[in-house]
Amino acid sequence: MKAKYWILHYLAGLILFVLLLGHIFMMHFYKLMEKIGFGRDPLEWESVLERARNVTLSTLYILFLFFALFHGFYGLKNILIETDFGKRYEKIVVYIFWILGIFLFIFGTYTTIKAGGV
Amino acid sequence: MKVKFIIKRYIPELAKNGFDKFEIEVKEGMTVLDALLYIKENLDPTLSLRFSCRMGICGSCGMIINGKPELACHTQIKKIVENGKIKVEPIPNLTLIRDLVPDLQSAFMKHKKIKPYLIRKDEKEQESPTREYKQTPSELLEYLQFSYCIQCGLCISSCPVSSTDEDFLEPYVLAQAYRYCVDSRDEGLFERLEIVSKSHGVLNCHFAGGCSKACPKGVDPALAIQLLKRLILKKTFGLLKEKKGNNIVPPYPEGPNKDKVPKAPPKSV
Repeated sequence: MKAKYWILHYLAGLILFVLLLGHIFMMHFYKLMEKIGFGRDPLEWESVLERARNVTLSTLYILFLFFALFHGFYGLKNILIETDFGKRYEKIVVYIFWILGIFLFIFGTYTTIKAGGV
Repeated sequence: MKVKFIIKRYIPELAKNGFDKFEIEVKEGMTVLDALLYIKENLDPTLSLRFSCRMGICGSCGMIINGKPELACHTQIKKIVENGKIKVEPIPNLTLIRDLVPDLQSAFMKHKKIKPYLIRKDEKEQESPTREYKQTPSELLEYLQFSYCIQCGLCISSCPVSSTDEDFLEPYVLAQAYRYCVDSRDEGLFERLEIVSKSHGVLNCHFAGGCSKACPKGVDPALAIQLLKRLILKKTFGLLKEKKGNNIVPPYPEGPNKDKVPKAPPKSV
């Protein structure tokens, strides 16, 4: 089972890299995109609403959230269990990160869906 | 040439913990182990160190010499002396017993855990073998370099994971796991992969690569660890099959003049 999580951790890192590139282009290179006829200021009210109502983008946001949470918490868990403290409370550390991760994922997903006006 | 040796001393019963300095006359061809033995025999008989073969085979005299992990019997003083000084310390990341003697017990127990021997389905043959197993030269090359490991523990001294995680299966243990996993005579691939992929196993390696640089025998534990990870990856995606070990070499055909050959004496052991 650990091997599966480890593979997912690496895959999540790769997927995050691609998603982050998209995010950076959308949020920080919009002027460049405007010049070639795409996009507008991402912080305008209409832009935010448009993105929130877009099913593809909302799905990508949820995927982004899942992979970011998994990659972050799994990496943090690995760092912690290599220390004396983490090793002593390994099971508790794992449970806390699972609970925290699931809670944040549900909360983030709810917010994303709600923002789209569903 | 006179060389000053700065040696780590640790004697728990005397609450001694620090460095002692000894100045000795060094001759051409003298190794650090020769110098340490000279000090023990002539200057301070309480100095403790571990050694055995004196020719880089047994791996007993692994220590940190001028900040680098080396075998003392293998290290020429003239090649490494800096400003007339040589600093000698025990291997870190292990419990220290005394002076230059680390406790390798935990590493040996981890080694035992990965089943460092050929696992066969036919247990009877494994316990009391009748003949040897077949192996081609190319099958031998799959694991040959990893079988040169002498378990000196120098890879442990340069592993950042071993320094923080005392449960981590050490680099040489993982290299040995790979060595047996790819041996064509072995049938315990999945069993061993299960052991090394647990928590504090091969997946915790940060790939610093220090183990390969430290190894005095040219074994590349970092490579073995990466190859082991590849095997785990393949196994997880169902691309790896449990291998069947090579067959036993068939008995030689009996010669025509069998009756004239004197019989071997009965087994004494």
